[in-house]
Amino acid sequence: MAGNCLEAAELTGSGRPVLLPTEIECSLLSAVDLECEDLPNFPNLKSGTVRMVGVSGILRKEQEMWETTDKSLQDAFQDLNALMSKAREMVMLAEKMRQKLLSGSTSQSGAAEDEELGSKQEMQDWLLSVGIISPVTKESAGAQYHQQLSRQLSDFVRIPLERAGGMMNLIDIYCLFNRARGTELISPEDLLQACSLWEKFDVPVMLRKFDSGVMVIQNKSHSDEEIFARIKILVTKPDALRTGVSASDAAITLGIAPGMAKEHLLTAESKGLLCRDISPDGFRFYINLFPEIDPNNVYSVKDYGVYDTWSRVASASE
Amino acid sequence: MRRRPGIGGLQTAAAARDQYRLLGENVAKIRTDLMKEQLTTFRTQLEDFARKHKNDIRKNPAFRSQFHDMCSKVGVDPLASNKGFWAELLGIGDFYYELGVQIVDICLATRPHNGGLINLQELCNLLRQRRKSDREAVSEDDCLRAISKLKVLGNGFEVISVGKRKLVRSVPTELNKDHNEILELAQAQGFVTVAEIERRLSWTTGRAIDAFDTLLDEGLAMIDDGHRDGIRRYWFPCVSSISTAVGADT
Repeated sequence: MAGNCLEAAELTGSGRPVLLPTEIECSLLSAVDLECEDLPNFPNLKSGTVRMVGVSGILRKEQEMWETTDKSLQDAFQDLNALMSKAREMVMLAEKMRQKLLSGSTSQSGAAEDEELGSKQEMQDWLLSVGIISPVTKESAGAQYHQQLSRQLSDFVRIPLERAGGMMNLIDIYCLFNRARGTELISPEDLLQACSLWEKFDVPVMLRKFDSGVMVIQNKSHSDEEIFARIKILVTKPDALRTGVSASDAAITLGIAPGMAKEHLLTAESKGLLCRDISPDGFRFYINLFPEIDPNNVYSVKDYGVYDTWSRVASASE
Repeated sequence: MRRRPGIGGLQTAAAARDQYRLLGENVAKIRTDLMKEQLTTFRTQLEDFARKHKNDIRKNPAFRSQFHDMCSKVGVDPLASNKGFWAELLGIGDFYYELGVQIVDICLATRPHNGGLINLQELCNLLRQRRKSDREAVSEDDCLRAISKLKVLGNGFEVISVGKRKLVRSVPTELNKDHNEILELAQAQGFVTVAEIERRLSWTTGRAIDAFDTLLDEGLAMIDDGHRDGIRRYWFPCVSSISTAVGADT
């Protein structure tokens, strides 16, 4: 490239160039190794063999890298295509088999039933291997893997559940369990399947789904009645009669997470125990007084009952 | 089988039915064997593929994404279970399940800041910061797949599109159309005012304030009354382009 812009220099007898007054001699090197003296830890840059140094050299290297990657990617895509067509065959075969087993389950015969159960089990295991999840139903017990996982999980969650007050978010379990495992982590679907199997086994934990879609696991011994009793006590305290109870208040008293507390308060409301009050101060719950109020004589206050307590507390604060 | 009258005929018919049933079972059995064989062949093929391309899947997010697309077209879910061949032989299960755990962590940590709604880009940045030591690159596509898996756990993990951006929701809050429109407008400057909403969307004051109140309740919006003109601004941390690192705020 230099050859086109500059004129050729005159040469002396021995081939050396004649330098004019302002010229200095310089030459192009075929390779340059750069070392940085100021920063001893700076990586030394070595140029490749027989390449131009500078930006174009780097670009050339990038290009070559891309070309080799491209070629191996092409192979990869071809192999991927072949694999996928095989997988497609498997899926179709699995569907046929599944249909057959489903229709076979309607026939009645004692001896064949065991055999069918056996092959149903195998079927589930195969489907799982290929990557098709079949949900746990009343008839099926799911893949063997999930059954084992189910037992493992019921042991694992015992201690975290105690610590969390008897109820825990499914997603928290997912994180806890996987972190404890370290490798060979389970998928969210694995967790869901395993937890759904608990109702078939005799384990002290159960999976529960709230209206909002939140899923939790809870101790079977941890009943709703107990929680409601505690909420009732909390909500009939003089302070609570005046200003109500928020989710965070309940969380602190009950010793559970605020999100869970809110779920409990909402459930208590749907059972008629509480009333909600949404105001600029926030979302608060009060004891439900309406059952005690006589619709024909709204102002009559019985001598016992919460209405009485409430009216006394309310008037005392004025 | 010739039909015979009387008890003998009934017995023959019963015997014939039994025989047909047994034959049917045998047929099923043969197909079971066929299935076993097919499965073994498939597994071998997958092993070959894994031997050659396991690294490509690990290192190349574009190839990984293509792989997932093809799987879903065929109808298999490579991430469905840890026990599947895919997870076992290709080893991608651990990658995504761990990503899920990290995403949950980050969403939890940033919830006080943004109310449970985080920009996908910010999430990916925080993820990459966290995983600096890991060699494997994480693309937005990977995050989306991990999140779609988390969805089944019921905690409201979802990706919603607001304008050009994607937001990741980690709380079971219902966001209706009104809220989405406000979020879209907020993208421009990170905040909106009631007047702006009324003007741009032609809503009544009541409707705008209602929507804002819900967003405030859920912690997705923050009030800013500190301007000289006295107009209240509503800020939305999840859509603002200025994102502070987690833990750096007061």
